[in-house]
Amino acid sequence: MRVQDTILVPQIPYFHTNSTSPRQLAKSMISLRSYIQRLYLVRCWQEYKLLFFLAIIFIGAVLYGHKSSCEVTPALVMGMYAGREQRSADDFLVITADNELLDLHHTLDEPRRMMIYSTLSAFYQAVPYQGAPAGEDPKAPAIRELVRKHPYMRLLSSHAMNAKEDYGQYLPWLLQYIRHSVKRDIQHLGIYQLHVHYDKQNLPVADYRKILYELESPHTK
Amino acid sequence: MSWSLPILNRDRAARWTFGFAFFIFVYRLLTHSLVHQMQQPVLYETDFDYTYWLYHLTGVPRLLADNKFPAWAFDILLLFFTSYSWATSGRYRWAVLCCAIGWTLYGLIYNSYSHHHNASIIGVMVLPYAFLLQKERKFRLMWEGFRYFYLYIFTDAFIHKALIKHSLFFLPNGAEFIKTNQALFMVQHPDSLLTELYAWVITHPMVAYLGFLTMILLQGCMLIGFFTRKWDRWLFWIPILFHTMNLLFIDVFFYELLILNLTLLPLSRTSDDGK
Repeated sequence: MRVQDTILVPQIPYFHTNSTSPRQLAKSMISLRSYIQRLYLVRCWQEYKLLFFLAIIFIGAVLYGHKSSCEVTPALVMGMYAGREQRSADDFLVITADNELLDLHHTLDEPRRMMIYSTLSAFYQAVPYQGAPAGEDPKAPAIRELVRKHPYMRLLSSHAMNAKEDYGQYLPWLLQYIRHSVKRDIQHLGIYQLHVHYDKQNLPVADYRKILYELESPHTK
Repeated sequence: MSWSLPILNRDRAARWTFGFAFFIFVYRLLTHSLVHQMQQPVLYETDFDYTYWLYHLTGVPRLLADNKFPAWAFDILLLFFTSYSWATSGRYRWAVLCCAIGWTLYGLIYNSYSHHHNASIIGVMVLPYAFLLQKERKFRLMWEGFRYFYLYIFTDAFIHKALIKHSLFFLPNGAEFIKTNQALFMVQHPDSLLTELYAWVITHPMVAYLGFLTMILLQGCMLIGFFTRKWDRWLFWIPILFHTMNLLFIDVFFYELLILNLTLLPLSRTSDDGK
């Protein structure tokens, strides 16, 4: 099958710039018109205006996202993994269930891992140790500043953060989720911080681990 | 080469899109991440993303995720509308609309409650909307729009790495990506063959960098798609290779995004041109 080459940015037509012939000029104008008509946005405008406006909104959201670092899904900003940093050490959160390591290392297990470790990491940033009076979303100061500068954002941002009291319910939820997702009747959950440094060859070496939170089963029901 | 990619028409595109969505549903079921499997989560993450802010302002995620019955009902309906749209090749707009909205809500719920705004689910969140359009010409325009959206995802990442943050030219980056993403695995599984492989690559930073450079340049190749469709048969394989290498070395699972690979397949016209 021959693929019709209707494209976003077609090849720019050849112009007879040194020609003064009216016929050549007309030919060039026709090819320019044909070029413009093949542009995706022009075709959207001609055939389906709603899609044209959606495309414009998307492009606007992408530009805004790049300028402000505030995304508007699905206009994603894909630059998040583009760092330039050389790490000498890292801290990882690890979980033991009844004194056994909860090992969800397989990449295919990513959705479940995210539900456990990504939420735990967020909780740890808000409530760094057991017995802390209350948690606070790490982005709270930035949102307060945003609302101070732009008061019209108050309503939109009103549910952008967790309530402080919600943090107290997290660990029981985590235990319940792990019990259901690994299908084991876990009685005791231990959450540790594992410190790793990178040696001269850049390979990870585990240094120590310290306990952060502990939870017993009765909390769940 | 003589081989070519399969040619889609609207019906086949619908079959493959909703079929892919069905497999995503099964994958999510097996990895305990459907709404009813979340066990009424309490904390969510909206990041600095106004879509998520608006979504949580409506109270819909709480309504669906906080109670067992709505969560079960949502998942069952999502499965039903996905299967029905697959079986009918997306001919019934009400079913397609319910399916598309369902996947959008699911993506926002999962990304919120997993505290990770994962781009891999974005494909199934948007692509089903194309089948709301019954007229061939409008459908083709929309489908083409999703093709550009897919190309944008890779191109934007390339531009950030090459032109904005210049991480492409940072030699330690290849080993750094593997090191930081696999450190926990290497520490916990010192005898694994994969640990040996990662250790070898990390201790040969030029090899790691060449791998990293290749991956970024492959992302950059997707830029070609903005100028011509003739290369789509080659571009089609780039995301598959890219996500496979990510899975092996960076511990990231992005195969769900491959639903948008369908937009790189040639699309033939049906007899009705929708005029």
